[in-house]
Amino acid sequence: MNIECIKEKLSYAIGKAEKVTGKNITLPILNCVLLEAKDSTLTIKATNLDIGIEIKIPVKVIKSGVMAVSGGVLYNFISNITGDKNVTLEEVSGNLKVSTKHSYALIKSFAPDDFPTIPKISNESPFSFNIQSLIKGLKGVLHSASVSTLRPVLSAISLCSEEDIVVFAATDSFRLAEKKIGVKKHKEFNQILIPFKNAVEIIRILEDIKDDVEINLNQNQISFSYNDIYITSRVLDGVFPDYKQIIPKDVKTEVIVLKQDFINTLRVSTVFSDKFSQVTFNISPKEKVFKITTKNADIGENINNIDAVIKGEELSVSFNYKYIIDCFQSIDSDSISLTFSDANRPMIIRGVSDKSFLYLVMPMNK
Amino acid sequence: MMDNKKLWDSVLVEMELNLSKPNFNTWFKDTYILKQEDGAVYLSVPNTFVQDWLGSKFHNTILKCLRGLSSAAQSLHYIISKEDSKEKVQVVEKPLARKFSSTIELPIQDVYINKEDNLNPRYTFESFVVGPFNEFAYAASQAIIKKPGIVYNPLFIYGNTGHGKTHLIQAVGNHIKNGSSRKVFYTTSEKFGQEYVNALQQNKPNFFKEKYRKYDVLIMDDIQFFSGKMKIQEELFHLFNHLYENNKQIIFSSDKHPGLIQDLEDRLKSRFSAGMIVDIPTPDNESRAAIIRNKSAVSPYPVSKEIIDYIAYGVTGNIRELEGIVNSIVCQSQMKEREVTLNEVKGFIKNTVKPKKLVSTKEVVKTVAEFYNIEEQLIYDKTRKKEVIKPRQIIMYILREDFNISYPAIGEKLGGRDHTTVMHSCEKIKNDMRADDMLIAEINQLRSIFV
Repeated sequence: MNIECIKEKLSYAIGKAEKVTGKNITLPILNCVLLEAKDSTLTIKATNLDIGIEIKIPVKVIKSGVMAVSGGVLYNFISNITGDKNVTLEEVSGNLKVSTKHSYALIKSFAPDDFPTIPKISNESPFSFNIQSLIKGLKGVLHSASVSTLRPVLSAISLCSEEDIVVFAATDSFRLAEKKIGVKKHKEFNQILIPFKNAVEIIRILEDIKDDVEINLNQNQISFSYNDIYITSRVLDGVFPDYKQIIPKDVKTEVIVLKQDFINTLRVSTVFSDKFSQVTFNISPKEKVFKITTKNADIGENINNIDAVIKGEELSVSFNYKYIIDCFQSIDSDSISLTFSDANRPMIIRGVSDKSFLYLVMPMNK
Repeated sequence: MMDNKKLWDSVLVEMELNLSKPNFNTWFKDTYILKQEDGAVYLSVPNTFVQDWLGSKFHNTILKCLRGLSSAAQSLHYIISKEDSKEKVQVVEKPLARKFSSTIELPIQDVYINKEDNLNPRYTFESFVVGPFNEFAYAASQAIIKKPGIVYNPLFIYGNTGHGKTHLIQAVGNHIKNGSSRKVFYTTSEKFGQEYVNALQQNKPNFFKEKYRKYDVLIMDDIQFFSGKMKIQEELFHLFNHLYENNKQIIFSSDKHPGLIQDLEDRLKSRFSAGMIVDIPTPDNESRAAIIRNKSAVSPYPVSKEIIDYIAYGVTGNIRELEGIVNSIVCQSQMKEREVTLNEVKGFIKNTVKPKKLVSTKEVVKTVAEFYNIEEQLIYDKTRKKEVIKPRQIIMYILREDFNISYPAIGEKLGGRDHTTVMHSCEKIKNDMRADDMLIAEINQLRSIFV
């Protein structure tokens, strides 16, 4: 193999691919990126057997060939070279020689035959989806997915299509986030469950693209293709919990506060929270007081009053503040509404005048 | 033929010899033989990567190994496992959950129904108790599993509530779904009707048609509720024809024989009869005992044979009620942390078993008259019209047999008839029942209304 290309392009592509490579996996080939040079194109492949990526970049191919080298090493070298515009990749006695005008490196290579194939989905009916909408939806709920794999469906993000919207949802059984994204005239699909770890990668890889992406789907895999980038991820087989039924419909107490006020106050009160991260809300409509209390036997205690519009019944309820804080990154509005139906049922957080996002948090046991 | 695990273990041994350890661990972890069928070996693999890799790199080697070990093996297929849907129960410690244990969990249900096919994974053949009463239905469903769409199409299963119809037909669905790529769909007549109405309202009737036509196995429960819904029956008729012509398996269940479902179009009735109609009658006592034994297996304390026999022989009621009683026994023994005695069981069964509904003579007359579509008053009158005599005799028979009312009292209540008339009627029905299956079915149906 012998190719010459623009350093920036190569660095961009390797940077996207390299992060996907498997870390600490018994099979060293999975730490590698596979470089395939053929017909003035360089195809870069990487996978951790959960998600796979393929990126093509135009290069000048002097001699075609296939090589597998450590993705981390290649990326760190290329991305840190400054000053030179072009870079040459060349096979020298079984290893990869990467050279620029001023420096060169020899990187140990692995047998390319051992590199896994990236699955291709054969499906006649792909559909396109706006990348920014997709990313907005995924990001909106990502924080609520479960990091534990005890219940696989909870470590996934669920995508459901309904009429003109796609509903993104994630839950770890203590809180739940739902984001609706308006997508006009998309092809309807059944529920898709994308492992949230893969969703993180998908967001990272596609984030700087503004266009539409083409989606292919089958029972086991989903793939996203955009020009020269192809990503495929495993989808979970299973059923996301039917969460609609647990959203409380009756509202007994409603509090509307400025988002920034609420965040600031929570930050203050968390200084004094106990090991369970407990914060207590005391809501008194008669006295028009929304009070946030934290108490820690070893540190001290703290009481904050927030200006708020309060409706409904008096209530005292405690939460783990970590679960509450997560949702603010998904709310754009300046003021938020907190609604409660009961001290043992979930609190609903929404942006005022924003119907697209819904967040449920379970209270703590008294 | 070697069993699947042994066969695959032997293959793994050979593969391990020829591969590096990391290689072997990466590609052969979590693989197993799902099943063998007509020489085809179905290998379960954890994901598409492994499927592609084994298929392209090791296919011939594995196949060679398989053939060397088992002469029956001819071809090798890969199926991506559905492990994800299962909970990983073996992980006992929950560090994360414990850390936040003071937060209440969202009440998310664990046992769910797969939305794509509506099947409840709980209903399997493993948990299905086969006894003399349902072995015919069981055999028919086994035949269908082997050749869906070819034999017994449609399969029509009928029987009273709580006899295991739903369990059986869902087990067929689950089995076919897990063993092949056939698209299975389970629905109830009520849902089907609802969807049809919705589709019409949204002006998408074609969407509805398309949806149902793409299935390879369609299971429809409780179709007696189609009675009188002509437009939906027509839709079902067209759907049926389409599926039937394309050799797709169709399974129906109902609480009565299709011939006895009122207001059901004849063309549907005749189509239902085209395949196989099986009855699941009331379970015999031995089967009831077997069912109770099976259900009580989950109990931490063994349920004694006397108790099982007592419930099987002494307590009337369908399987669902038996299940309820077993559940309370299990619960009681868990609470008391010991076996439950027969006397205790007798004690709380009194409360569990629902008392026989008290039905007045008038109600019986009214129901039977409605069933045969005649005026209630005619029963009391002296008329000897043929269409009135039969229902009147049936009323007498039911009152005598099921409600233990004396002959003279029956005669008196039904328009002052002599007690010998009543006796004659009961005898006549008894005799007729020996030869007339239709009559038996009708009476059973009437009885199910009163119980």
